[in-house]
Amino acid sequence: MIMSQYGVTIHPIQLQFGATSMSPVTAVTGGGGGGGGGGWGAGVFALPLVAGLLAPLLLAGGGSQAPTAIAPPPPIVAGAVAPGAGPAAGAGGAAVLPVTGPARTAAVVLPQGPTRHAAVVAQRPGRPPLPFTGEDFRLPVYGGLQLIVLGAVLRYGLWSFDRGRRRSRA
Amino acid sequence: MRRATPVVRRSVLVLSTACFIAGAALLAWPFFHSAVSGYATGKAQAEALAAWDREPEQYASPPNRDMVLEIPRLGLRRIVPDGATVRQLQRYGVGHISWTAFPPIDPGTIPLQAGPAANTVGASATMDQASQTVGIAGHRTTYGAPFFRIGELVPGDQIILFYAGRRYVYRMDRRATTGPSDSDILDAGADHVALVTCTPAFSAAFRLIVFGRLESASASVAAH
Repeated sequence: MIMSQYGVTIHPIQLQFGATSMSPVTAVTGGGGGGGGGGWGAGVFALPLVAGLLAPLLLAGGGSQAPTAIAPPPPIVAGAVAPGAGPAAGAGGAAVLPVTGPARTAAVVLPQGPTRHAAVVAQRPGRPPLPFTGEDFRLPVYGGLQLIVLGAVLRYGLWSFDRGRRRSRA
Repeated sequence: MRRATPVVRRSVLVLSTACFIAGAALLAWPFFHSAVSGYATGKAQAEALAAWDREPEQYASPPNRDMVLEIPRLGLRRIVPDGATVRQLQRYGVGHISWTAFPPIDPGTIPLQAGPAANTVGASATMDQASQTVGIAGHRTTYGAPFFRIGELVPGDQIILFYAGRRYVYRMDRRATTGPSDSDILDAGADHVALVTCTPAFSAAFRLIVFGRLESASASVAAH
């Protein structure tokens, strides 16, 4: 909603959350906070940080998956259909609708499904996978870094908020 | 809201200290694991190579399926025992993949493409499973990290195998990266060797395969 008053026009910023568009709600500021609160008020700030740090740790497990063999569905080649002509299978497995007449427009290929896919992996039945020759060190490295950051936030972040509040109250 | 009591403050301090210690331990784990496993694997390799050098004729007979792998560019020399099980790879760092072939006893019989068996295959493999390529797996970052720098090989580099009293010289010709389940990639032909390791380094998500093509085979009692 555009507001105009005294010659000043206010355009609200449109925030995009996925497919949803919304206007921001006017922030309600506290005006002093009411004193006290201690260091635990900083937990509100620490929680998103901790959640953000833990997110890649939780997602790290999915990174070691092998590329999935996904065969793309055959594209559909659309064109004009001759009267009485049925669909015929193309050489590449695509369903081709025959085109009649020389003045037809070029066929339009409509790909189905995702166009980016892993290479098709065909494993011979009974043949074991390739040997495991590595260690996945991402989990301990990410986990260790996150624990250290979490410890730093707990040790210094909370008390610094506490000190700042006490200083401002004094 | 009230200020945190001393008990709460102390609890938070204890918790933060525990986080520091646990985080440091987790960060140190890869280095510790690499060092300990590298020491144990190096010791086993040194003993096996010393036995190979001491009694080469013992390894020249066909019942013995141990090989020696040499890659001059990387300064690598390792005993390759038969079998690439987890236990075997943890002990020696490298191992011959049992369902792949050994180097051909008579290189003159090698077919140009993968076809009828010209060379012997690991004992535990059936003919459906068998690959005619010589497959050798090795650790990338731990257990001595024999294949840590295998990505540095360029086409033309020598990959030398000593097996059954013969010296096989392969020339690196290509590399490939694939998933762990794509074992058919080792069907490169009887005149190829495939060095398999995990990639990227410090991850086990994919496999890096370096292929070498057989250039020559000559009689040699031992690897020196």
